[in-house]
Amino acid sequence: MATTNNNQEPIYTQVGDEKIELTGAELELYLLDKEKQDAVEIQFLEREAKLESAINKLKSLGLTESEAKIIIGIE
Amino acid sequence: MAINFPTSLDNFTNPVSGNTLDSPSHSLQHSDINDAVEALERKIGVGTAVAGSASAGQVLTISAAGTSTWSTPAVTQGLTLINTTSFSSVNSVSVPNNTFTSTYDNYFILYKANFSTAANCTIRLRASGSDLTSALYRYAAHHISTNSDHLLTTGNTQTSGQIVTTNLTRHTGQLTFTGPYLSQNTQIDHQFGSGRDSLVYASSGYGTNEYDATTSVDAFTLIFSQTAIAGVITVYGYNK
Repeated sequence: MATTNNNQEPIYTQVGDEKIELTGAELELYLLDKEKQDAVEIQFLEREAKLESAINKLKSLGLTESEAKIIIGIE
Repeated sequence: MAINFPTSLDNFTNPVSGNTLDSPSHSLQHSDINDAVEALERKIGVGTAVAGSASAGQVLTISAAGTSTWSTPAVTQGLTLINTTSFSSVNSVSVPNNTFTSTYDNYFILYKANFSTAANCTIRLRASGSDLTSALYRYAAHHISTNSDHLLTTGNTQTSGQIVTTNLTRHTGQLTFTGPYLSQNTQIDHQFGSGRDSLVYASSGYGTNEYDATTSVDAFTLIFSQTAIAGVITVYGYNK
């Protein structure tokens, strides 16, 4: 039985010049990969938000953005 | 008068109207021309190939001692184009099977891809038409962005390698494959430089991936976490 793709858009791969819709085990593998990469994206955005928050707090104390980044360690 | 060629060029005296047969000497005129023609023959070499049988771009070259022929000059190149794969509206793309062969040990790949939604990029090796999905990939990468953020990413015993982990809407990457077709661990060194519209910054990064098995592979797949609008992958072989 083909695996259901909850994402309504079909998922395609291309091998050389041939475009193929993913189904079955290959679709499952892609969706698992995407889930992992989406989790990486969420972690990255959370990190960005924390960095921005920390920079803004330091700036509210009178530091410049460059000084704030030096203290945080990203510059 | 003895001829100068091939040591130096000759400067023969041309008889003019009114000259007698002994000034300049008629016999010496013939003798010098004969000697000059014979010297030219030795210079060019024997062989029946004539310019009329040659193709555009061919040059006269020596094929054996004393023998000349017309041939296309050999060109030594550092990189040889193997194939180019253009893609659009796909979530992953594999270069053609048998892209990697015994002709080259190492390969250089240029790729670029655009996305409407920021995406990551992972990689799998392929053998005999199938992706290698065993948990044998390991990677280490360093990414930096214009907001001065540095991100270190590592992985071990993973089911895929990692190229881009900072989700970007525009990817441009360079991959160097070491020994993919050989029966040894395949190493992939990568660099990328890309942009991301939603956060208005650019990123760049570098790192390495390794497939921890002595498997001969003949292709690879790039897997995107979002649908690629369009892109292209160009594969070159490093000449041995």
